[in-house]
Amino acid sequence: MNFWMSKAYVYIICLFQSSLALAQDHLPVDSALVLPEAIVTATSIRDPLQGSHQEDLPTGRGFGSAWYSLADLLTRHSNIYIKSYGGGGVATTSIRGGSASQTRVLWNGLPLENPMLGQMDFSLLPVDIIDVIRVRPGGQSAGWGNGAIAGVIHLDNVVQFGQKKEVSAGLEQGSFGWWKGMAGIHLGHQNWQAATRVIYQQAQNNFSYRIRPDQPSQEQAHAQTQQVAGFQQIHFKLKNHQTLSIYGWWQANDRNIPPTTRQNNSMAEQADRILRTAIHWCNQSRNAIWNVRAGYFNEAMDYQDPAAGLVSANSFQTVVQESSLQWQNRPGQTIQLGLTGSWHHAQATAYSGKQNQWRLSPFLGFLQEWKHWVTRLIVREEISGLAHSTFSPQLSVQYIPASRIRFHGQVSRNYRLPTLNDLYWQPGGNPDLLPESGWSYETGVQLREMPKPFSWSLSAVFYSRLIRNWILWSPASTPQIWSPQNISKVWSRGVEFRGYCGYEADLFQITLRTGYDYVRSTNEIALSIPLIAAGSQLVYVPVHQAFVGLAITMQKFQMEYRQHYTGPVSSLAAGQLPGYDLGSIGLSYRSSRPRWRGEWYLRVDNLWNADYRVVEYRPMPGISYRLGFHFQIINQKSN
Amino acid sequence: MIKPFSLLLVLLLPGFSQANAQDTIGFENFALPLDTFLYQADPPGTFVSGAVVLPNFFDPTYGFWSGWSLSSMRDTLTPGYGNSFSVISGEGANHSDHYAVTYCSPSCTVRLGASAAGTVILGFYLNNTTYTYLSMRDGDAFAKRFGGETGTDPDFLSVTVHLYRDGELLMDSLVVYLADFRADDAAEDRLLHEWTYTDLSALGGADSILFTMQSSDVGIYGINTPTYFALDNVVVSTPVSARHQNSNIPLSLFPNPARDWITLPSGVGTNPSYRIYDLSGREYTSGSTKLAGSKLDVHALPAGFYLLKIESAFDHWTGKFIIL
Repeated sequence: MNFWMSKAYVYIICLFQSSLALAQDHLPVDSALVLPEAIVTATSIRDPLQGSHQEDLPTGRGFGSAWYSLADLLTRHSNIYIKSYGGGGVATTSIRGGSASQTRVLWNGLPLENPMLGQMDFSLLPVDIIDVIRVRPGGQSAGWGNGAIAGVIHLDNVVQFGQKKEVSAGLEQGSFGWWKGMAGIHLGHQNWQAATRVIYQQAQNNFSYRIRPDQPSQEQAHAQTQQVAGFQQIHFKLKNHQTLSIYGWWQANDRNIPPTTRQNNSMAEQADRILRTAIHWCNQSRNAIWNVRAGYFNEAMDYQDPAAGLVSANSFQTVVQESSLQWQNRPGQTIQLGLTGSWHHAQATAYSGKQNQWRLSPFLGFLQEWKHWVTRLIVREEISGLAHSTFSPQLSVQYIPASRIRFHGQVSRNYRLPTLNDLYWQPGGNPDLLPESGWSYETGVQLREMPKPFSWSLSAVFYSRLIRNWILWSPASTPQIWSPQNISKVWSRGVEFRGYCGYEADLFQITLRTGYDYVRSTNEIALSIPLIAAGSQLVYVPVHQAFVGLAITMQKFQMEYRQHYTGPVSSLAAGQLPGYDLGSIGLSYRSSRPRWRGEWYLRVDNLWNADYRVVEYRPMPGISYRLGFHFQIINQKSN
Repeated sequence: MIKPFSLLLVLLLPGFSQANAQDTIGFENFALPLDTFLYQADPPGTFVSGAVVLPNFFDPTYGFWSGWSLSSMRDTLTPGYGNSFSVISGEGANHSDHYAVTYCSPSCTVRLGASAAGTVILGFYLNNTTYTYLSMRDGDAFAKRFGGETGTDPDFLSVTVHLYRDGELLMDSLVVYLADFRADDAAEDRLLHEWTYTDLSALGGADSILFTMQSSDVGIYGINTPTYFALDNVVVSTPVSARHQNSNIPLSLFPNPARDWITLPSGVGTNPSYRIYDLSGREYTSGSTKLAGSKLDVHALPAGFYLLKIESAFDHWTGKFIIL
């Protein structure tokens, strides 16, 4: 039993709007990887039901956080397609053929995405700040609101109450001028916990690449990145079942934007300054949980390209809150009632002044369990100044005829409101835009055997989603002025297969995971500008993705290998980018004494030195490594 | 049979003339200090220079313009959209100060004014703007460096000139290459950086012109290359009948007949342009010189009857002479 599973009293800060008391066997508790006990038992009535393809990615410290950014972790460890502009460049998601704006990102239950762009740049998210990442594909607007069309990514922090004093530090060095240093301190009492983390990382990203095998090697220039981040969390146990948590997250990112392969040089640079604070109160009784959480986010981005004469400075402030009550009405029946509200205030060079927007969305969930069946209905309506209906129902059904097999199905209506840029960008902003919306259908089957030492599972999910009023920017009144319009309709459908087998012995543990995704996401309306043929696949959405991953843990050693295939994608100008196959390997060695723990680790990415591109004219690095050491000095009393 | 000299006289008769006078419109009539530009027409809608009309749209809300602007910018070094009003040669055609710049997406037009009936456009000078030139030479965040990643892409940026006459689109059109990297030999790759004359006279001229641009660098959002170009010195041919009657001033030349040179009287302005026609109306030579009180070298002309036309901004003079 490792230290994660120590005897320490594990207490969850009602993080997922549920409780141990309400956790039901039929509720979603899938865990893709070994997780802290606290997380495995955390569930929510709003999470997808078991059987759907969920991934929980632990980060932790040391080996677990040896990633350039959250984008890097998702690229290597999930089957989400990450559209990355290269080392240190912008990285966005595409889940099940959706756009980057159709992924909702939640930090401890509060939406994080930029209201001006409606999406998140995952290259800016330091892994060390997050404890657990939960990836939940599929439409979930009823549960999580605006933008949860293609899926939801939860970024969560977890704490364990108990007597504890801990100091930790780590240092990592890697290819292309990569350096990362982190330090943390954690002080804990039975009734309070305080943890502080600081992270500094930088990279030159000066990797070499070739345009073609017969061409001379070139070095990527003007691609330096630097990030400083600090994170503070304080938790109070006010009463036996009542907690108050306060979070503060500050970070500064500076990066140079490298030239494309068709550009002689670049002088572009971008600076991001981010402050995120949140507070969360939770009261848990035998049959009910109250959650009240609120956040204040302040972000500023300054982009400059002196060579092109471009200057763009913008910033936004968001105040968001969510209150919910979940109670067990009677055995097998759970109800949740909640209200999400947000206020956004944005300033941009291209706005005519400052812009504000408020949103309010009540939701209601109802879950009923029988012996072999689980049904769930969630409804949400988001009210905003846009005066368009976003009524979103979601009906889910699970059937478990035997312990080895389970079926699930879901029908939901999902939506995404226009962003502030869509509405107010001048010239071109269109205040008459309708929300993107449409119905999603999903069904799946899972077979599994989980006895030790040998366990396995196989699953398949089929889905279809038709989104109307898809927003695209195109020439409007004059060719020179572009404006967002509800001009497209996109049909996404596909199938996902996952396989898992594991063997656990006294001295070692071995797991093998594999998966394949087939995604057809097609424009259903022919357009002239942008030039899109009816039935054509969305740009930067691969039809095929597959992976196989092997992990071996042997006492103090851990090894993981993953091979990931991404199929060809169509691009904006280059036609089709070829597919690529990437291998990565990680090794770690842990040693521990009663008062300290240390870990050496090594990661090698693009092990076979593949020449590939994710975005046209943006080269990607070849083989690279990261070597690091992390230690903790601990003074802990078990509860 | 009409005698040659009688024909010459007929050409000179106001109201019955078949000869055309040529004007060169260089947009110098705008009060535009050096290194400035004018992207808002006043009165709104068009810039008018001589017979040439350049449409202009200006949105005061966003400071946005389309169509044509006028410029005297000389910045040949600064890349990017912020320098979209400069021409890569740093000056107008024939070393003039002013020129016109268009953002031609997807098309742009040049037409003649309503009062210029019978006038036709015979040609004009084109050049790259600094923004477009440097974008094609170096690439930028949105558009490719011509030649592409390997330097061998057969890239091009061209302007197609469509001619209208009496409201009808003519079948003939011309293509002017602002950049041409299509040759197999990279040494022949060419980025236009000097004013280049496009002659429409072989096509009979036009009373309005539609420009469209094409590029090899295209994506699903259209052309990636900045679709700007510069225009100057539009040459128009104006029927004598259409000109101001009082401006056609008889010119006395000395000696006449002449052999090597003729002397021009004072009063024809300081920097007029001149043209010499033979009896058939064919232009023999032309130029711009300080003519007043000076001698004009005619020794290269074959023996015969000739017509000399001298033009200034407001008047023109005509006189006949004989070469022995």
